[in-house]
Amino acid sequence: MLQKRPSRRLFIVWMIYAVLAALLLSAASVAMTYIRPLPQIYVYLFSALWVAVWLFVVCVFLPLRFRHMEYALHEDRLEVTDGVLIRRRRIVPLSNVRYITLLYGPPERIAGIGSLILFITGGMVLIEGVPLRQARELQAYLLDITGAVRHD
Amino acid sequence: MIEEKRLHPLQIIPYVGKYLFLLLLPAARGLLAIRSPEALYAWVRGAWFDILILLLIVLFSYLTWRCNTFSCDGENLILKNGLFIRRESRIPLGHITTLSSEAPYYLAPLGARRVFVDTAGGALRSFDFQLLMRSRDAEALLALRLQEPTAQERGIYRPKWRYLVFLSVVVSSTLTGVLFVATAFNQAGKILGREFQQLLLSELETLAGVVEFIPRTAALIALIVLIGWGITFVRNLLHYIGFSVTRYNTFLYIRTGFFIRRRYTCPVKAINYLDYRQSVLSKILRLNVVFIQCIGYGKRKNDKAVLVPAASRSATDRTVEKLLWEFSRKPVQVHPAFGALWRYTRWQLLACALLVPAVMAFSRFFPFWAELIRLGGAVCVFPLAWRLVLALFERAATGIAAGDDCLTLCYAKGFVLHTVVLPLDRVSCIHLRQSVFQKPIGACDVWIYSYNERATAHRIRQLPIEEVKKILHLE
Repeated sequence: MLQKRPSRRLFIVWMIYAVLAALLLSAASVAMTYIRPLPQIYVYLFSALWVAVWLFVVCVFLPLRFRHMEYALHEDRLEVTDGVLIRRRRIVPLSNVRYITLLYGPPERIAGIGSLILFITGGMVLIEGVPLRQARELQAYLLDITGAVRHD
Repeated sequence: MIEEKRLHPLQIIPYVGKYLFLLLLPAARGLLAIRSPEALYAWVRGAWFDILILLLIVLFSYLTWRCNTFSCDGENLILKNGLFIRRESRIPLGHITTLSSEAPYYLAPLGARRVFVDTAGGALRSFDFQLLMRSRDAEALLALRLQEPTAQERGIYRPKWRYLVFLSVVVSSTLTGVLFVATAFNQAGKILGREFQQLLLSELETLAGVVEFIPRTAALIALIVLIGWGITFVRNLLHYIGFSVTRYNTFLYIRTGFFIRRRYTCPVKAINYLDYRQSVLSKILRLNVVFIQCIGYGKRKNDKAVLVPAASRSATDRTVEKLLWEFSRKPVQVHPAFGALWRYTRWQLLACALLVPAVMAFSRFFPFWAELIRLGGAVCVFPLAWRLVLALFERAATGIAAGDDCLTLCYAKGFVLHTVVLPLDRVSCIHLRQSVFQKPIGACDVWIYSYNERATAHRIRQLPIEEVKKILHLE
């Protein structure tokens, strides 16, 4: 059995997205101050709200989410665990995997990680925070295994 | 093996749409600047920025096209796309259910063809991957499936012309045609002017007035329905011209279409079931239409997963024996009890009995529409009677048979009788349901779910529960 946690660099990626979101929301707050009919109190309320939510997500939610993420590869199945309020454990027979997509954007490329999306009959399973080289190897390995399991 | 290649350059065009949002920048800039005629002049002079944005859009589209590649290493199809967010997908060739290509008349002169890849995973209603590639690349990809040792041709089937016409009649949808006519009429008015639209409407009304004993409104509606149906019939006929099916060792190769040439490759092991369909009309004419269920085949809008367009029972059996000998149909072994006749026909008989009182009641409450209501009632007699006749056929045909490898399921759904040949390894679930009214007579309804992207339910009604348990080995 191979049991893994996501790479710590996933946190860097999340922080990049969080900063981008903060910049966008700041721009919205600044833009709102120029809308004349709108009282300033609404601008302050909006700003306070998004700052509070942003701090909660960055300081509480994301660390908890990162802590509860892991995946385990067995001989005939893959188990993926995640979730904060509702813990989810998905067990996927390897013979059920149809194809796999490796996904990475500019922040992921900076951090050197990617996400694997396993398309199975009836849905899909996501594994985040896998180093890119490992992700490509895992992608090829899983597809080889699924072929072997199906033939067995 | 196929080395890494790019898609056809025409693929750049849809990518342009992705970056059109960038036009918001010059638009916003223009709106902020315009306050006087002088500002307007300054804005016009500043159009160089707009041109720059436009060039950026084209540049991004081109770069996205450059990043979009496909290749094959002999075992997997590898697709890479995306400019900023990169996606690299590996699809084992053995997991691809249907690999198809489409060559419309407007793309063929440009050497382009669309290729569709589908698997049992991914999106339910659309193909997993759609690629616009050069014709020779599409041929090479399709040829991968038809290599030795699978390339040995085992049988070929080309239906007669009259069966293609019959299939087009059966699958033509009135609703689709009417929507098409309505849209065309509306657009004709916008493009060619209201006068043209009025002229068209008056011509239709004149034509509708020819049949004097039918109210003008009803005749106009009937005419529009007829025209709509006629349009879809012609479209379907053009779709099925040149239809042929070739069986290779492990694949079916299906060709169809005239203006839009389509090619499908379906592995036999990916075919979930065979479906012989009969409407009341085809039952009277003693014809069957055979469909196959293979993920990706028949997924396009207005596309049907046909194997045999129409043929007599014996011809159908011979054709299926030639193309798909793995799917053997058996005569029904478990029939509904004789007393179940009432259960098959009760709702239809009730609807027929209530029709006349309902028409009389509505005519009384809405006297202004009485003539139309009576005509509507007269029109409803036909489908109700049709459904009643089908219910009688259904009772006679319904049942289950079990062979060594396949189940044969006979049932009716809507206005169609189905005979489904389902391999045992494609059964995902069996559900027996017995209501309080069925328990005294020992009957049940059987739901058999077959493997698919989304499980398909086959419901067979009013079968004796003990016999069902025995034949399905559920004791």
